[in-house]
Amino acid sequence: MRQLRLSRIRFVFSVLLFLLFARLFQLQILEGSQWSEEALHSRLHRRSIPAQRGGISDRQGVILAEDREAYDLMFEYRAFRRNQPSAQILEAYALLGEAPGGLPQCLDDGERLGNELFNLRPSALVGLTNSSKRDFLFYLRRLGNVSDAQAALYWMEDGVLSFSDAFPSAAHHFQVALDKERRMLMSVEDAMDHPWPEGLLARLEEERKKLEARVRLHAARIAAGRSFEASAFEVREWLMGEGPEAKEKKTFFLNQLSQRWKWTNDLPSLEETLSARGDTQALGTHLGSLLRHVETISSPDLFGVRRALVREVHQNRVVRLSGDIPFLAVDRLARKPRLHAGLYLEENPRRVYPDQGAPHLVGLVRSANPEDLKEYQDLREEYRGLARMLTRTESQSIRFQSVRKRLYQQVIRPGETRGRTGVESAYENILRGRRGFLQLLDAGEEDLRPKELEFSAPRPGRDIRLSVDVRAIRAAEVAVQEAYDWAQDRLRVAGRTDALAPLENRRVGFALLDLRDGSLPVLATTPTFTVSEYQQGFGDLVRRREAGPLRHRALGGGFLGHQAPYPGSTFKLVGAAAALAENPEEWERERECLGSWAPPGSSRALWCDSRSGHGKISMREAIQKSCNVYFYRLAADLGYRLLWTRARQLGFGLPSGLELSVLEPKEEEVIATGSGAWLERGANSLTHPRKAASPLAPLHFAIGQGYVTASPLQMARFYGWLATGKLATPRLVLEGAGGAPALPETERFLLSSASRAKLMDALRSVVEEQGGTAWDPETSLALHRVSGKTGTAQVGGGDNHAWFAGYFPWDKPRYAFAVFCENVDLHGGELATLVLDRFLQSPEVAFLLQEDSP
Amino acid sequence: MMRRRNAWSRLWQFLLRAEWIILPSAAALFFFGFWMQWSVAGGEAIPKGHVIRMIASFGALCIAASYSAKRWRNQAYLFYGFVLFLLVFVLLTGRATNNAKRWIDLWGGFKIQPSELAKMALILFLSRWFADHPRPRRLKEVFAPAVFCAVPGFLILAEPDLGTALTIVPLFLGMAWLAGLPWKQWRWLVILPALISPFAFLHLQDYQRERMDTWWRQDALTLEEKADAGYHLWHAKLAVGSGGLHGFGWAMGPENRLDRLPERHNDFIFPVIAEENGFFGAAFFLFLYASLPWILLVRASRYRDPFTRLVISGVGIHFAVHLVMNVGVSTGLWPTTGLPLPMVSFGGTSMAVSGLFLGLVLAVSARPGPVFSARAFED
Repeated sequence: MRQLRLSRIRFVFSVLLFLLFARLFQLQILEGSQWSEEALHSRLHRRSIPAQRGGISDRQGVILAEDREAYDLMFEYRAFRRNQPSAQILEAYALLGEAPGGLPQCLDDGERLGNELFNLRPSALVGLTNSSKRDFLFYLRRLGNVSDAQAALYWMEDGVLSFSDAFPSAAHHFQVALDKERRMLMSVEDAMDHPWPEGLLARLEEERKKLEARVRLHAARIAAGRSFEASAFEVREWLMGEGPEAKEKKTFFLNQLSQRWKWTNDLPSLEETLSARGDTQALGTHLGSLLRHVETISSPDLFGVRRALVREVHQNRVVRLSGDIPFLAVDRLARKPRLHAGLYLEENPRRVYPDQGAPHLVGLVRSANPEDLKEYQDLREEYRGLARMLTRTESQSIRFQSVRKRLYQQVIRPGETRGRTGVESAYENILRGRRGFLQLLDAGEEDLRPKELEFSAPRPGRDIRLSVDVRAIRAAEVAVQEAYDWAQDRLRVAGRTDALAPLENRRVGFALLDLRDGSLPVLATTPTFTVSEYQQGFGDLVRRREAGPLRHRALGGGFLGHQAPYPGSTFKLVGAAAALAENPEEWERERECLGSWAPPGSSRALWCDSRSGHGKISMREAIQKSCNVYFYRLAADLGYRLLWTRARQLGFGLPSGLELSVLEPKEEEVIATGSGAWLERGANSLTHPRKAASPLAPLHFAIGQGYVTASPLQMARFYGWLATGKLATPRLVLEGAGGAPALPETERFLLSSASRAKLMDALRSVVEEQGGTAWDPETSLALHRVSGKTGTAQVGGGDNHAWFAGYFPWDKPRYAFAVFCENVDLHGGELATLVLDRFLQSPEVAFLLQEDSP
Repeated sequence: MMRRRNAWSRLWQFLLRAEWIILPSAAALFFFGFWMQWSVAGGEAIPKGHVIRMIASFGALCIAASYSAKRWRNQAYLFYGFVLFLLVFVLLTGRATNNAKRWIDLWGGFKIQPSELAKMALILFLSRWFADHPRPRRLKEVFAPAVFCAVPGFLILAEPDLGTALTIVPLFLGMAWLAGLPWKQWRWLVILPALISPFAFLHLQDYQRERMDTWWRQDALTLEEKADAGYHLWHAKLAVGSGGLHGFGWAMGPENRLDRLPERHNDFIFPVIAEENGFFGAAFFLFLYASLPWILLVRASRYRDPFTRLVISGVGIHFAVHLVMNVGVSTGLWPTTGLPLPMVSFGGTSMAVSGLFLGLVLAVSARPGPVFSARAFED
């Protein structure tokens, strides 16, 4: 019987043993490859390597934007405390429940504190949890450089001697390590341009306390939410709520919580602590006290908190201490990374704008915002979900590889920058390049040394060359100043001091279009801004609404009401061209100007600039002298719809096609979208005939006073068409990217070359013949063979705009231009012409006027 | 002269009759344990502390072996009472560690863990009891020994030391079975606790409940759980599974060398064995370790003296239970409880008690007590 009973026991044991063997077989043989992969995966270190962003230059190769190699100084407290004596001392004392002060105190008083630790006997560790004892032993071993783990373990479990007696060399090693840390910190501080006022270690202590406070705050909020079955986030929302209802909820919550936690202090202090208000220095201490109190009174509230804290610590443990540190510091940290454990370099190229020219067009970069990071967050969640799986199907494995590649190499990651405005934004995908990827194994299988598994070099972004010439743009800005000064002098001489005031605001848009290829040597605007003003004082730039330095007046958009860019008399040539296209004999037909004219069906008359009238006048003369009445009559004959149609065919009412924005068809119109669209917002509008029923509508329209707005760029395009018969699509980008967005196909406006020649002759007379509105013997416009039309646009609630648009040289047109002086209360011929004249006189642009200049 | 002759005679008897067959397995396990502890220590300096403990264990073996079976039997109840006193004493005055009171500090820095001694005390107690009250027929006849087991069990649970407390259950069940309790009665000893266990679950501590939950969902742990509550289990399985067929080699296991597996010198020594020796090595180790309780459970049937038989079987059950529980926990078969592997895990008291167990077996096997009960012949 006993045999049987024993055999039964043996049988049960055999079954259990078989179970163990089977489990072993399952894990090591059947699932062995998966576990190996998982183990490998857990030792993998992946790093995304930043790619150099493409540069932006002007047509002459002047660098406008480029990446400069730069490194940030990062701090990871976990690595720091594992390797640096000051943190090891701090942590060891924390485990004992004592507080010797912060990191700086632990370093300054390191000898005393360390020796006190070394004098401890194992009996002093009574009351520590197993994990605390393990951690304490870890720090002691590190402090004393005791490599024999077993010996240390035996000392802790069964030893009677003090640590220094058990390990005599520990004290010496400790002193060496302490001195090394001091030298290291000093060396890093010396290498920095702007060392921290209290010292590097004080700065690290600040970050350590912030991390500690953040972790404790999270724990406290989780605990606070426990009895309400609420998350830490919801607790935060309750505490931050505004409004009577939210405050009532908050008060109820705090009352309930204080009862549960037997909180004897006042409610505001509890609220302050949980809301992380008050003195940030003391917050960590208050939270620590609160958590200890909760642990004593209601420990179930802290159940499972550690899991959430692990995540919090992992997310927040790396801190950027300083960006773009000097090369000397980079060199020191890179040469001896082990010495600087806890401090490390992170490559983070800086976008610099050496020339600071054309900031609106070049644009700027910004750090990725939450919207930019949405794809990253989604991919990361998916990646983590797939990574958790021990066994993946084939499709899951493929998806896993694909998601990993996108996550590390393609999507925008936290800390990265992306284009915010201008070309930086419009050509983000081209400029950004593709990040590289490095996968390291923490410990190789042969020798347990780190091993590189996979490396994919970063692909730098492509460079972009713009068609603008910053030297010419600066010349234009200088020309504006000189022209305004000149105009002011003239006004003073003429005794017209009342007209001086508007000239203080020098708000000008200047577009110069190269008719050979649509490039834009000049797209200038004043006032403008520098990159540093934008980065440091963006708010001030926005607040200057009247001056609007963020607007680009050559592109015309984003204006205030009284700044609306009505083209004025420069638009008359549209009517003239439309009339000639209908009937070339219109060129000879005379119309009478008596100073004003009311169309049939209207009791209201509109005036001409010449109140006495021009008498019977032909189209040539009307253009030369800018007779409004002529064009009123002409418009009344042609009708609004015809004028509108012709204007549309000439590009009015449509975006200019500049590459900064994306064109999208929308019902009957084309709209520009994207970050560059606002630069032209409202600037190229054309009122549909459906909304222009008034008998006066065609009259206003014909002289560019309503029903149409146009940017200088748009006007330059039109005059370019007049000069060449072709409507150019402006090209901001010369090389590096695709062409300009395709403008929608519109019916071409065909005007016979004979008619066009007549109009060109008229434009020439504006400048070169006495009586022409741009005729001015003091300027050199005639010398430069400029043809053009002035304009004076009235705007409600503001001073007139002054325009001058045309082309040069008139015999072989190469450039079209438009100058727009906003709210100056002067005629185009009194100011805008001066701007062009000063520009053409500038030695900086002489190269533009050469026959073979690029 | 007579005394000297008797002493030599006893020694000769001891050498002839003792179950020396257990020593090769035990020695192999001790040296295997030393080999793995050396690996855990970093593979460089020889772990001198462990060597000292092995020597101390041998000393304990010798001391235990020097007692006669009769003395062990006679002092079984006294020993039980003494250990019970220690268990109460440790709760009242013992050193608190990890919110648990498990140790009594002695002079000279030595300490003892009464719960380890309790296992030996229970084996002796139950052996004596069932030897004195053989062939129980009804449940009420095992009620008293059950209570005598439950008392130290609850005291150990109060420390708290769930793992050690749990080992008492199969020990009692096994010895009650071997004592002759009929199947129909014996099964109720299993069914009743099984019925009560859901209620017991409610009284578990938070961290114990968390461990159960983590174990239950071990194939679907989140990254955070792998880093926190499920850390031990996850890394233990990683170590075991990644060992593959041949293992990484001595002192080359990444989980071991990179310090990613906690308590690998103690409760989780088996994953290190599996990681570094692979399936072949781990299976060999299992075979080697299982051979010890197996030999004991086979050899126990040689003895007519119930006390001797029960002591040897009890020691066999003790080692078997530790093997099954420790390796089961390491491979995720059962929820994580802290239970070392005797003779292999780090720990002076555990090694010394293992030596005592082996010495006890040698002692009772060498000089089995006289058989007076007629029932002893009833097979």
